[in-house]
Amino acid sequence: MKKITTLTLLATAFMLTTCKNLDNADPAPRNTFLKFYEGPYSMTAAAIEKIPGGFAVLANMASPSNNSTINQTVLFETDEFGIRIGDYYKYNNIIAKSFKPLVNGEVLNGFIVVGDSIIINPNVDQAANVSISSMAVLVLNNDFAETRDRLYITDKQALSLNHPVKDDYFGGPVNLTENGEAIILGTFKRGIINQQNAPEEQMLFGLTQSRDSSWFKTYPLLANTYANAKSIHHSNGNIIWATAIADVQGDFTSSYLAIPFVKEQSVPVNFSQTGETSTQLFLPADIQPSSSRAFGYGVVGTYSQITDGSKANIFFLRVDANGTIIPGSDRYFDGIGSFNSTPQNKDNSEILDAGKAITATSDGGFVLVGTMTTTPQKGNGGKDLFIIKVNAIGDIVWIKTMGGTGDDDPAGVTEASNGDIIVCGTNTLSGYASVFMMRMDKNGELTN
Amino acid sequence: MKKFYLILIFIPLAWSTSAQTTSCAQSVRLAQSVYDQGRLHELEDLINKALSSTSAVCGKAEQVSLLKLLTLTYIYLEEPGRADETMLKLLQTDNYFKINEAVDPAEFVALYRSFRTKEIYRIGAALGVNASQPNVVNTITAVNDASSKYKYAIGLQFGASADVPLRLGKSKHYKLTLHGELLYAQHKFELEQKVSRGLNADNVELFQTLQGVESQNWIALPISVQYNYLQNEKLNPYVAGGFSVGYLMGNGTLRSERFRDEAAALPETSFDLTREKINISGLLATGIKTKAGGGYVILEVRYLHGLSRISSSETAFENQQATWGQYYADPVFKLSSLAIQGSYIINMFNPKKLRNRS
Repeated sequence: MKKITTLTLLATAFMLTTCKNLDNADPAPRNTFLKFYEGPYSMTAAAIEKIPGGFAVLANMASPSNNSTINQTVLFETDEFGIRIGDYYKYNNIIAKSFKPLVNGEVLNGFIVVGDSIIINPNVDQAANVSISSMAVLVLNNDFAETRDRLYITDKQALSLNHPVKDDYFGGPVNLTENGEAIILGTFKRGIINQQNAPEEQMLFGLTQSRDSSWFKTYPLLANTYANAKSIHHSNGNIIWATAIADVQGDFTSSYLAIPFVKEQSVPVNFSQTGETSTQLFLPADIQPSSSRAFGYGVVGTYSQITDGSKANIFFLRVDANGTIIPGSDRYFDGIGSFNSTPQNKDNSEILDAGKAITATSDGGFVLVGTMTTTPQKGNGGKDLFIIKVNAIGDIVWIKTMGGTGDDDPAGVTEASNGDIIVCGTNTLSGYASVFMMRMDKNGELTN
Repeated sequence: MKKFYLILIFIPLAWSTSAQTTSCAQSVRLAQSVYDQGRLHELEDLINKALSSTSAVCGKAEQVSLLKLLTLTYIYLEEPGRADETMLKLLQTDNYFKINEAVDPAEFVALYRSFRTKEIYRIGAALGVNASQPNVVNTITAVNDASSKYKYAIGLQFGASADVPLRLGKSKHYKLTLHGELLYAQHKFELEQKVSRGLNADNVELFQTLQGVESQNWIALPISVQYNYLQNEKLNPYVAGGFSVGYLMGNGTLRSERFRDEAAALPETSFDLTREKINISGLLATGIKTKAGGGYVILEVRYLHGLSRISSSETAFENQQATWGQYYADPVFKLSSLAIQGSYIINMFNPKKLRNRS
């Protein structure tokens, strides 16, 4: 009897002591993950970059302050498994557009962050002066602290009869040259009456290795508005980016695609275009180099044969190393059609899609990320992620859609050192936005 | 006139009933008298007539008395085969027939003991409640800076149960019982996940809280061996050990709601989570059996310790509404539960002649 009682007690004690709750169990040994990062206020993702030991995420948040709202840029670091390291680092009065980590070997030295600094003044005569935008550049050290005064490109002219409206400058993508200098692409609107309808022109801004202003050049190539993609690249003294050019001045309902390819601090040496002789909406969102620069670049964006965007598909095309669009390299993807037939006819769209970001993969292909808008036919609600892996010539390798009831909008994609795919973006539910980061394996699976 | 008709109806009915009862009782008295007088050869006909009579049907007690006399008769007439047959009939007529060693002849007692008189199994029904809680093997989370915990919740379970009394070796006592059940078992547990969202403009820490209840419906087959460590007529306390195999009907269903400080709450939603279909658990129990009617009333406390994982790392992010809508990723866990259950089981007999023991 005693033996039985003892055995029963021992077995019960063993069973109870081996029980673990969520907070004291070990994390699962897995690589892939989906993580959400919530701030005290709505936080939208702007970009993701690889850094030694993990990833850095750039986001924007609007915080209330004394009956007004402060625009804050938020920067945070994660490890390889998406676990946030340290705090959310916040920088007031800037809406971030892009950033670049300053890495030397395996050492993170800091970041360059580019964005817009906007001053709102409702008590002005000219409506165009209610909101005045300047391009702002932050230089951070590896402790995420600003190491120097911010650099601004702003209108320093006083208002006058001859200059009744302030110029607006907008930040854009940033990248580093081979020797560690920085190049920044931006746009600006001249301070004229009816500035709202003025063309948005392009500008390039260079920073020295010590992050001082080095050079500034505008590219008023055409009088129409430009909408630049989110990346800029530098190779052998040449700078390349992708842009959409509106067909009509002051209007962006119809556009075509161009690849400016310019000598540093000089004029364009190539300006390859597509769609300039037809009417459509062509909006490049991102351009990234292939796994080997010799193979040029991949471009992703949104194409709609109907200029109101109602026939939108994701497009992908290839650009050679000299900035020339490779004829016949364009491919189109639809959230429903691409699951049923390949290749997708560019003018057929069963569901609204938008291309947002692209990354080259080490196998020579690319991963494109975008959104598809839920319809009764397909989708989990709002905008869902639409992710496409293509080979070097743009043929589909795999294709995925995922998301929840809210909007899931990607801001960036990159490949991890082991071939996994990292997607970062914004998840919006009931009007409240959070940042997400997802690591899929090279087959687009979240299972291991 | 009406009274007259009623009397006409009831008189024959009362007479008939009285005649039957009286007749069989008389047969028993007559048989006992004949037996006492030693006129054993007359008894077989007398008793068989009484037992097979359709006009004077014997009650169970009378049948038992008659069969007992007949068995004794065959014993003394040295007809062992017929004595066995009659004893078997007697035991089939009254499963609970007991000998009285002080009074009954030794030969009758010996014959009785050569038969299986114990119940061979028991069947019945069980009803209880359980409190379930996951035993987490690995965490998988879709959020940072979270404090998460599972809490037990109460579920219902019911079904059929069966006992097979077992004897240890040549022991006379049935201290062991093989016990099995077929249950519908509802397992529920609560989840709370609290995530820090950082400090607001007034330096107050804000949180996002997910609260949910997961429900699972299982068909469970617990098998255990009970050890009756203190046998007496009233209470039979026991301890038991064994295992349980469960089959999940459908999927796990999580009903959850997400609250955010200083922001709109998300409406309650319900979604399916992929779970393994088979769950194997270790079983420890203690209980008390007490005789009631032709069976036992049982009260048992049972702990089931999940041995197999019922969720998988591979499916942690499978439900997109859960991950993208509730920021919920499925951890890897086993399911354990503590149940209190009452049951009633009826003894089932099948008397037969036991093989001669050397």
